[in-house]
Amino acid sequence: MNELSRRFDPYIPQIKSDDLKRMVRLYGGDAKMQKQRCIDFLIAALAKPETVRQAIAGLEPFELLSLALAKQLGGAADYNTLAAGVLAAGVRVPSRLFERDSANEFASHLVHRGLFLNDGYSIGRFYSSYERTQLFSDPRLLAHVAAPEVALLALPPAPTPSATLVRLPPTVMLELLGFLQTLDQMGGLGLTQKGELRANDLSKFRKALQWPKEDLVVDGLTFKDAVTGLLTALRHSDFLALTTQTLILRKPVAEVATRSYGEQVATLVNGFLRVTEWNESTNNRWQSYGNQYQAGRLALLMALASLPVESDKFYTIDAFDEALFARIGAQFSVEGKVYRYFSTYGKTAAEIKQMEAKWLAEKRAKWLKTERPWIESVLASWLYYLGMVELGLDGKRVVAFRLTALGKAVLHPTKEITVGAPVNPTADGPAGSWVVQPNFDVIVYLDRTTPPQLAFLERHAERTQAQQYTAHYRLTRESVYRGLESGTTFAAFMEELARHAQSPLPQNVMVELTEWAGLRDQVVLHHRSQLLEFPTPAARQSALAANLAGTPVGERFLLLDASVAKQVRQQKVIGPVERIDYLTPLPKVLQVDESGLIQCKTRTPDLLIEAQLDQWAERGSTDQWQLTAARVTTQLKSGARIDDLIILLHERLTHTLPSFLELALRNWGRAKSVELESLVVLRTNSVLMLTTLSNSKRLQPYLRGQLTEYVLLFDAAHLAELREVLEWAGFKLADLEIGKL
Amino acid sequence: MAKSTKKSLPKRVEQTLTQPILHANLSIIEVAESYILDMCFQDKLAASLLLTRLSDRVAVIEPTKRDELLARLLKLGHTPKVLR
Repeated sequence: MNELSRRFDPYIPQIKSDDLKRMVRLYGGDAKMQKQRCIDFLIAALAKPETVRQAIAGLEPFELLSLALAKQLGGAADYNTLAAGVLAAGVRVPSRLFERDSANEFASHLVHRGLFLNDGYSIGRFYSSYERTQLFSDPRLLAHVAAPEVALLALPPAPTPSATLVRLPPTVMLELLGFLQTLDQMGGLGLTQKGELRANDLSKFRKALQWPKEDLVVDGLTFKDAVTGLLTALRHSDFLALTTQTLILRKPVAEVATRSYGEQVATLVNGFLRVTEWNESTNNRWQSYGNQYQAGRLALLMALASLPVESDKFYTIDAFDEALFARIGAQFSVEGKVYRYFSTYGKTAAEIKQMEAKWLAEKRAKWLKTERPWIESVLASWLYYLGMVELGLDGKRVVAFRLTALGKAVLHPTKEITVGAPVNPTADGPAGSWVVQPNFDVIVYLDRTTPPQLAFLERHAERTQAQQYTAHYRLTRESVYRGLESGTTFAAFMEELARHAQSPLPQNVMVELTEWAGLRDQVVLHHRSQLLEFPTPAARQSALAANLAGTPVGERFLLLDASVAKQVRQQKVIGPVERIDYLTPLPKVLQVDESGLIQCKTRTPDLLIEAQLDQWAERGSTDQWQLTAARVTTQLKSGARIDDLIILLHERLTHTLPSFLELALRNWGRAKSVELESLVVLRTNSVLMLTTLSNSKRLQPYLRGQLTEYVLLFDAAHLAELREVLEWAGFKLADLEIGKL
Repeated sequence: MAKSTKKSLPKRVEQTLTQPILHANLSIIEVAESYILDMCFQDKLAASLLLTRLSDRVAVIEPTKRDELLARLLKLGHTPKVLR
């Protein structure tokens, strides 16, 4: 559902009158208005930014948070996800909205208020369903909503663990860029007709990254089925865009690399928040229909966002888990809906309280078996992998964590949080981010690099390895060439390389780099040159004498400078010119017959057709070419494809290409066989007689088959025997008139 | 020129033209030294991607084969500057 289709306007007339009357109240409307007036009122209110702003200002914090979370998730979300996110953020929600089972009342409230609409049937009135019902909000409402605000989660700090694991932002960024580069090289990520990721692409991606078929183990931590997890997250992230069954990069890798660490990781985190086809749990490798892992991820992130942003303390997973259970445990499970039905009929208040306590204790016991291990898996898989948490270990077991600066930047995008080295190092900052060695290796100190610096290296050097604190690149002729081709000037490349180096560039490196850059000028491919052709060398000489700027080519051509090409086209410099634009279809001037004789019927001044025909055909007279099997085969052997010739003919012929000739050309490319044999044809006008002949034992040895009800086929090698038998049987043999067969 | 390309000169080049022709958006290869283009024409695959040789240092590229030519030149050890 795109932004435009989430506007409420087309849905409002479908909403029932009672529901509309509730909705108009948000914008100060009179609930007694008739249906059509309610419709007009709502549509007009949404169109006025000031009215929308006032409506937003009057919302309850949990309503505002619901909108903020929906905005973060792209404007629409499963209602259970929104509910889990709001509860986990610790914002007060009226208890009546969660009194009964799960989040139905909560979702109904948001729809009744006119903040969201539900997809599916009965728009404007939310019904409980086993489906993953989506709620969506009008982009004009979301435009006035700020980032989610959460209630502080005060946990007791844990002692700093003796052993910790953390991944630095540059390491994370390099791997993320590596994924995107791999996808780009794969030509995108294919989807099946059902919209699932193509298994073949999953396999290709895994092989390209040299990841195991089993779970990925990173720093001793298990990341369950990481390829599926990462690719599905990428699929749902804004890194990729869908074009006819294939997901391709929305922006080039080099452009992505210039974004801050926080922005890059947040984009992938938002992808993880939308994943329903994979989960992190190593205990639970299958997932039930209606599972709520997606909602659980948002809840977990909201709880992490509730931790004090200025604190660098570790927290035990035990404490965090208890706090999260306290916020959402009674209403949420990753395995699906939570039901809380018990009969209170005839029970005292104390008995009801006791029943609720018992139910909650049972829920907690189940949580410790299901949700608790899942929380550990999330922390130890993608949250760790993306550098958002530092993990504290007790032996091999993860027992504590703290948010990294990168984690805080992702969870609090509106706060100024410095991640990694400062983007603009001052005089007090690092003396340099890398060392360029005489053997062209570049050792990069990741704790000192900024995203733009890494983006620069990714564009101009080959990454050979990346470790926790350093990355190694190599300057090669190809990598430098690729960088310069991406638009960097050689002077800018050298300046940037030297500016962030800890010591001056080695002399031999500078000499070699200069030589490599010079080689680029040895061969120039002009994709859109403007070439002026003169009738005579003297005419060109006159034009040059008149200061027409360009490079002479041969005796009669002039390669025009870009600045004068337009003037020439407008006939301001040398008067009238005939113009051929090679970006538009060229004139159809050829004729060809079934035998492959090509004739150029009209003079064409283009510089292509004669040379193209010379490659494929024998030139006869000045305007004739003959296609031959030998010539076509030779051209095919040099690497050309038969389709090249067929397309050329289709484009330049004044008529359609004769089918038989096309068949011949394709056969010359890859011969196809037909079977051929000489046979004797016997025809009679009597079906009865033909049946008798075909059943004859004397004729059986010579019979090869029946073509029609009047025609038999006999072996040509036995014509004499056949003739003898037929004459013996009294037949008068006549010559066959083939035309009537 | 005909000798070096091993191809007959196009008929149209020999024709007497009456007014200049602007070949707009034409794909061409331009080399610093003529021997580089000679080597390209001697390479079977590269030669099949080139059309008319306009001078000892300039030739027309088969317009649908620009990427293939670039890949071939890179394979032959050249690092062409591409002006798009």
